[in-house]
Amino acid sequence: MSWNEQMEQATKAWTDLQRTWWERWMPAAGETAGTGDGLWSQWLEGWRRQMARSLETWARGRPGLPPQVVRSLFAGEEVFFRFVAFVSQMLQSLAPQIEAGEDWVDLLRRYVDQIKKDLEENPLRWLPTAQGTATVAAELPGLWRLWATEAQKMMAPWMESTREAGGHLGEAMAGDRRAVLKMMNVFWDTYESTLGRFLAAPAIGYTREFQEKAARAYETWVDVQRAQAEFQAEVTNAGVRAMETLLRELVERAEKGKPVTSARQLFDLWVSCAEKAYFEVASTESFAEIQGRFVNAAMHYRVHERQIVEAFARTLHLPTRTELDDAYRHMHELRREVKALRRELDALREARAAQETGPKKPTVGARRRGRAKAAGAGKTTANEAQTEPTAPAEAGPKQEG
Amino acid sequence: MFPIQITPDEAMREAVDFHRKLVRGLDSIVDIREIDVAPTPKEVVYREDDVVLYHYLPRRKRPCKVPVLIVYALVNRPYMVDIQEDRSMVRNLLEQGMDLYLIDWGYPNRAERWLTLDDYINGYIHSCVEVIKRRHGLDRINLLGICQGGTFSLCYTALHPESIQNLITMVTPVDFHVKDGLLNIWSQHLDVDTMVEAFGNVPGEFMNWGFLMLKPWQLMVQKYVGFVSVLDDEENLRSFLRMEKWIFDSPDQAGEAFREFIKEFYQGNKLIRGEVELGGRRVDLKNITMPVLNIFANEDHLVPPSSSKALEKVVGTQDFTTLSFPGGHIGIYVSSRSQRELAPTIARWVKERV
Repeated sequence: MSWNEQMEQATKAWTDLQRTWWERWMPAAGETAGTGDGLWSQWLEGWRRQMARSLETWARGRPGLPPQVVRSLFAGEEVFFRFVAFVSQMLQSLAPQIEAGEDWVDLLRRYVDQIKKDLEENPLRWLPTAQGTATVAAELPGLWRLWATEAQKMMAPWMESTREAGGHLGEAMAGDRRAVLKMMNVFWDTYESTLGRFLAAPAIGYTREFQEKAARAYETWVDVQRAQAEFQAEVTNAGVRAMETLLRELVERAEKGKPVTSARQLFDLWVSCAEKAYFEVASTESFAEIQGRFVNAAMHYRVHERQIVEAFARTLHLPTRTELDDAYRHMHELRREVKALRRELDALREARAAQETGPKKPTVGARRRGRAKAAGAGKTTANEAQTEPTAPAEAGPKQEG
Repeated sequence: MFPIQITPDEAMREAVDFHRKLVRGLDSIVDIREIDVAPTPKEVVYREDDVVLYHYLPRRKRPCKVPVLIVYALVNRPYMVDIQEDRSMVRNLLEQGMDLYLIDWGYPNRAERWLTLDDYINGYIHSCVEVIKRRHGLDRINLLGICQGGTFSLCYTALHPESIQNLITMVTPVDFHVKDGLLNIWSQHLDVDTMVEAFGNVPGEFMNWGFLMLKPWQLMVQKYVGFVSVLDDEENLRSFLRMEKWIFDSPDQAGEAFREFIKEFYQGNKLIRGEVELGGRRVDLKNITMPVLNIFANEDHLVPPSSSKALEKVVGTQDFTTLSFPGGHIGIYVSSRSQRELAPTIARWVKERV
């Protein structure tokens, strides 16, 4: 199948999905904020599946296409679509009341309040659930995902609570506003009441040292989860503010008689509001502290993780990161020393050569300044007065050209 | 008037159009196999460890007698100043008759984890300056430092004023405690000792994460939505991809140098107080008595203008010129206006002082 045919097929499938969605959506007119989101989610999910299938076929035999470019593009598109969905839903919800002559500013404010409440109660609701946006969102805490994957190996005794928490994650995706908190609470409660207490106790026996390391590593992993949740809450806080900023901007536009006339225009306005609101939150001391705690917790975890890995490496007669770093440090110190000695040697050689051949010919700059001084022209700085033609203190091993 | 005049079917049509453009445009990306950057011809004149000193081939028969050494930041790659033929500060300066050198710091590997700021400034920069002096038979050259490279250039010039004829600083952080930059605020709460212990070298991806978090919606979402509109224009598409390459072509940061830079400069703000020490010597900005041209971007979100402007009050020179340029941290190299105005301004300023 040619690319064009595939594209046509994908577009047709997508259009069909839209029609289906549209038909289902229309009866939902007048729903309050949020309650109709399930339909959009289904539509987006359907679209995503279609696109994934189509792209997978298409990308075969096209090695020149960087996967991250495609991911970023489709992630961007999905965010845009979700935004269009949100706006359409909002308008659909408000239109009858506006037409009935209600004050739209008040209506919008109430709508935004509803969303804020939604966000506060269920932050995951506005986080991406489909693969595309997940890619974008994963960039934020994505740095830690590899470590988190590794850390899951230490989670074996905790599978039960993880499964339970996972159930709540499912609830969260399905729209239960309290699910995220439940999820975190299950995990922390279990940890605090059992392993947390156990880990805090001193280890004993032949494997004491290793136990101790594993315990500390696990504790730091828990710290990372806590700090990440706290950080995510702050980012959500910025999202709440963004809605308020958007509302203010819309009111201003209405007053100036400059309505927004396209989804893209509204999307750009929303991004600009989101960025402004984010900056306000991100430039506070409390955000910096929370972000710092998140990053620092992750770093502590990483250090502890390495200690465990190194304990295993030693048992397998493998060199460790610490040992290699130590070797590199010695190499670095030696290199510095060699360079310093070489500079000194070069300077001595040049001094001796100068003694043997008489005074060194001045460089162009020195000659020019000499002439200027002789003529009594220009301002002479302290540096110039001190300048003598210096012996080149070249340090490097190779000079080309 | 209700401020949103969009009907649901129009919104849907817009989404469908968007999607169609995106899918069709993917073929254009596939056709671009190579993303070419740094087109201006140059030669290697010196190597030390992984550091390379380049000399750009002059574009005028009798270039300026005193060459300019460009010192770029350790963060990201220096080809931003020569990203493509029609957006190249390097090419524009060569056209103006400048003789240019550039230090390429390379990609530090784990063995370079122990490199310090002293190694970079009193080591590599000093070696490169000496090589250029020797090649041209000069005892002073011009130095042009960019961003963190500007901070390094300030330190170098303060420690070796006898080697520098004129100093140009571009988008250079000087006061690290101004409150209008997120990096300044965020860095105060970083436990950089643990970070370096954990990472060794600080990964480029981590640095990128920090930079993207400065404007997450613009840089991670809006940019790619906007990208769809250039997919059918090959030249714009290539420019976009070059910029993407540059953004994500991020070398790791040598651990010790990173630790020092965060602690001494960002957290301690010691440069402006004259408390930085390198190689056992204090960096006193009052030693900078040669002419200084300080260029900043007035919408810079990485290095706020207030941070750069602080330089004027702390250097010892009587010949201080400030140039405020419209745009952001990157726009200063690639915007159309900068192509027309920046290089001639720098060249004129230099030529009046050599």
